[in-house]
Amino acid sequence: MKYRYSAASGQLNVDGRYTKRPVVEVEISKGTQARKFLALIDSGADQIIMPAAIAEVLGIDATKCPSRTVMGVSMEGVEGFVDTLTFHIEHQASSFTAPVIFIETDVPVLLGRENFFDRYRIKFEQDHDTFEITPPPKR
Amino acid sequence: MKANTREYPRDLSELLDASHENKWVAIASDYSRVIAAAETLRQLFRMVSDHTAVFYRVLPRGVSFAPLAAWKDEV
Repeated sequence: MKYRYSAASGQLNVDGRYTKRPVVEVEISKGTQARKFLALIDSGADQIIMPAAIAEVLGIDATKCPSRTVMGVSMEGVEGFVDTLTFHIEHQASSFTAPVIFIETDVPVLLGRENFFDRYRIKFEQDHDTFEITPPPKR
Repeated sequence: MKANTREYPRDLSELLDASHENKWVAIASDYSRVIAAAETLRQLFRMVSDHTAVFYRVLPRGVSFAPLAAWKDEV
């Protein structure tokens, strides 16, 4: 399935063109609790990362979750915690589960590689403004 | 098996403006309007009871975004 890169008004590249990002709608759930987000596909992130506020609204008790430190381009560690959530990407037939690192920042939902890129073929085609998410062929 | 090549466009530029910059927004599920916006996601969750809403972090203008990369294992 092909998706178009998303643009937001006023966000410009260095060269003045609109900044377009590979953003996709995803329903994130834990048990009976679910919310929808526009998530940024991030091939540079080892895992899926999102704000701790999402854990709260899904009823996750952070004190019962293992901790994990996240480091970004600032090269400073941020403490987080890990739990497993279920994901359903829009226009995909199936759902998948993946570990998520929750951190106390208002970072966008980042769809990193573990259990996402493992389960889907992600093909970035920014030169013609699309990206593709396809389940791997059955063997 | 023939690949499904249908494309799903999503242009947020007509939905979001400068007032949403650097905020979380809740968007109606049909992408027709912004339901609410807030400085933090916690605030927005308190404001929006519609569980079909789509939540999105609008990044600030004039900055380059380079996301995180987890690296340190403490599990």
